[in-house]
Amino acid sequence: MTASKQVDLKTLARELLTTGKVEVFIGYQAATQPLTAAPLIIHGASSAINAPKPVTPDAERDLARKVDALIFDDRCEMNLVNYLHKFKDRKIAIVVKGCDSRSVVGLLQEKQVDRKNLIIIGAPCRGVVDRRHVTKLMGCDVSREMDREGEHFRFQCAGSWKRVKVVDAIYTACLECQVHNPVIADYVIGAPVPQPDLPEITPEMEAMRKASPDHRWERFHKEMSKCILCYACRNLCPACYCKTCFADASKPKWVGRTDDPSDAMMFHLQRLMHLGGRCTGCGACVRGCPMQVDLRLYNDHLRSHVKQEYGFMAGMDEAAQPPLAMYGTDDCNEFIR
Amino acid sequence: MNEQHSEWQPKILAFLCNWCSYAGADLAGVSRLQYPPNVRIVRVPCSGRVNPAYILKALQEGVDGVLVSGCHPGDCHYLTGNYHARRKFRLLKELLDFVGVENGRVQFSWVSAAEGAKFAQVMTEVTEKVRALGPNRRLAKQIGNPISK
Repeated sequence: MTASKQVDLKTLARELLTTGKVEVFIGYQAATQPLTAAPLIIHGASSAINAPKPVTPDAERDLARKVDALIFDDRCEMNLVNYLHKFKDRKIAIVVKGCDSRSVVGLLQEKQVDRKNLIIIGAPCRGVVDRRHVTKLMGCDVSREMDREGEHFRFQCAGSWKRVKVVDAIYTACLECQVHNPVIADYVIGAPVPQPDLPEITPEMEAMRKASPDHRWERFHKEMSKCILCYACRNLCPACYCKTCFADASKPKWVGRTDDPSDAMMFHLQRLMHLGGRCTGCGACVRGCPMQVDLRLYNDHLRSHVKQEYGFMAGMDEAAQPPLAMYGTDDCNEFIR
Repeated sequence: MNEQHSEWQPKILAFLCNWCSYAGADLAGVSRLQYPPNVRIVRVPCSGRVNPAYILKALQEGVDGVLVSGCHPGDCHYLTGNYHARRKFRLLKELLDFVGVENGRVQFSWVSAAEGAKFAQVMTEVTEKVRALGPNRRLAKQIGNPISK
């Protein structure tokens, strides 16, 4: 990781945008519901959208207001790397958590973004709050923002403050995260977060691997039966950037449109194959799924398989070659008669 | 024709690479070697051409077993196609095993153009394994399928 400087987010954004060092700044702002954040895309004075209009006092006020709306905290769950494709040849600054930074490295590996055009603002992250889970835990809608004190969050719910342990409130992906601190960054906002020691494979994964094929099938069928083929998982995934997704192709038609679970299986099995060796485990797919399909279980399995077989972790090293794009002359041959 | 009136026969789809496995199958035929008639063969230029989606779609359409066969490692007509295939299918097998598709429904082999006998043997073993597993129900699509129960 190149040496990166500790800065304040708003000061940095203001400087980058007003000096024209970047045309577009991609970050987070508070959203309308408590415990949620939304993306905030600010076009600077030099951005194509603003040119060739002259910079007016109104425009300056507008820019200042937008920069002031920038946040970074436990609500910022979105993986903003999705937006990099929209601004391909422009100078962009983007706020990335640890998981998101791996997505950036993934895109650099696959030559989808030019490093020269990118200013990466790394944000060390201690985990993002799972709003749906917290609402369920507390039995009511959270009506005000939370505070974080040590190992607990305080939420206001139905007029009274309740304390919830951090480990119960954040996403599973965050509990299993191996990159609290971004792996690539030009600037860093916030102090580094200590990286806990984590087991190679979670207990849930171990249990699933040891279970019988019938049990595994039941679980897969149960998860796939929830899927409504809304494609939110694909849309949120930074590794899914094909202009025409296989799922939208009609000749040949890979994914049917009925509610037979078999169609959902076709979509997910094929998408999992496409993500083999590329998925970083950021969890955006699971967070975005309206039906709470447990996609992580399957992505995790392939991810740990790739790590075991080829010693490769997606999105860690820009110079590394993705294993499924290569071959070895002495790869495992045991499964072939 | 539904399953109550006739005994179920496994339906196997085999993707054979043109240069080695398909030629091996042809040799088995010319040599009059017997093997079960349950296989439908699709000739592909190379085992590396086989998109994992073909295998998945075949299972969705109700095929009971799939075989992909290519040249031995190092002998690929296109030099490296079968190496790529090997990695790809290793991943696919990991995935199918993990989701609970029965072990033995989807199989892979290296059969050269001279190995007519091996082809007949592989076909026999695959067919018997799939017969033992029974009809493919897990990934098969039920909606709009006139043969489904």
